[in-house]
Amino acid sequence: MTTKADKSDEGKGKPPSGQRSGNKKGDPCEFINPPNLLLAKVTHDLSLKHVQNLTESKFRPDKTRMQKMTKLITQNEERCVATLNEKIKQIEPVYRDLQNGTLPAREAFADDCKHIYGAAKALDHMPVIRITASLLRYLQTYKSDKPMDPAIFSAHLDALFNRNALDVRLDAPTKLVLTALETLVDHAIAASA
Amino acid sequence: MSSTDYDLSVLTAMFVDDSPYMRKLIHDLLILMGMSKVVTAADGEVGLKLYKEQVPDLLITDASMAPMDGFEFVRRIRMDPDNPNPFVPIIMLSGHVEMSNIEKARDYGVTEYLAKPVSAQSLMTRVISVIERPRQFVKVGPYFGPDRRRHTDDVYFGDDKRGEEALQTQQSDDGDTWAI
Repeated sequence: MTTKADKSDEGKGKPPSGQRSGNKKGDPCEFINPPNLLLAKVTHDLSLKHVQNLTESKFRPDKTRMQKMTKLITQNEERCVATLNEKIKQIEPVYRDLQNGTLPAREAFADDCKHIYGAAKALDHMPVIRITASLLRYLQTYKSDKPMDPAIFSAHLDALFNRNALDVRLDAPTKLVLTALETLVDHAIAASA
Repeated sequence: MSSTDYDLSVLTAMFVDDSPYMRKLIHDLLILMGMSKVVTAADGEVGLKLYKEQVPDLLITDASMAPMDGFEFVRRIRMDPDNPNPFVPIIMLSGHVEMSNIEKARDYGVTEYLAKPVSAQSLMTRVISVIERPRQFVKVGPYFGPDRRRHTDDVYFGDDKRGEEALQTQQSDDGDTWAI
């Protein structure tokens, strides 16, 4: 096993103890090299706790294990896509009710939103993450005695149902839509406080 | 050392994320990697409490969570005087890959940054990296965490690395990479 010595002080002159070298401006630096307990643990070799930079890795990933991990990631992705679509379908009646002026049951709707948010996060679907996060913030933070605004729910649900039109990399129009929704919630919460 | 593999079963890891799907995924992936114990928490506040109880060897955290986000969680881990191990390696797993976010993570004391979507290879690489190449720590002003300069500059040996003299030297040197 080859190791690379810590060269941080080599060739730079001797700095005063606990400070970077010379009489330079700025805050004094204190460098600390904690023992490499992780390497010592996983190798069961205590002498390796002084190794700061292992230049030649002895770790050989097990191919079968890697394949299992990749399969797990794919399965999780499929499960999240299914959950996302299913949960969004489930809240379609909420949207219809909103058109008739009926607000959703707060806790049950928040639960559905949490599921969608969680699945979107695992899929890294940024527009859905931000839409549901904004909706959840409205549901969890709005404290006024006045009823909640159906238009805010409708705006969020509109965006959620049309998620395929939004860019997962957040292009300018997508950013505009998401920022508008978040601003709506900001104002509603500020007014309710 | 005769073994060609590491015994990861001796390690305890902790993963903090508000998505139950991510918690399950990362938990299962770390177990598949060979770790015997993986603790999970839904946000920074719960994570901090669990961290003090379990003292894991490795932390993986998401960035955006409520009420305590990943950045504040990392800051508390590094700065809290009651923390049993402020040197613990922290990998931030996030979909926010903008440079400003990565720099923020670095300035809060994150050891490695891992972009979503996570792959088996990228997760494995980061975990092995924090084992084989732990970062030197630095305490300067209000900052305490891994040294934000990842490599020693082999070309410039002067005192003031960001000074004019150093910059002139670095113009002909593309090899210097920065932390995270």
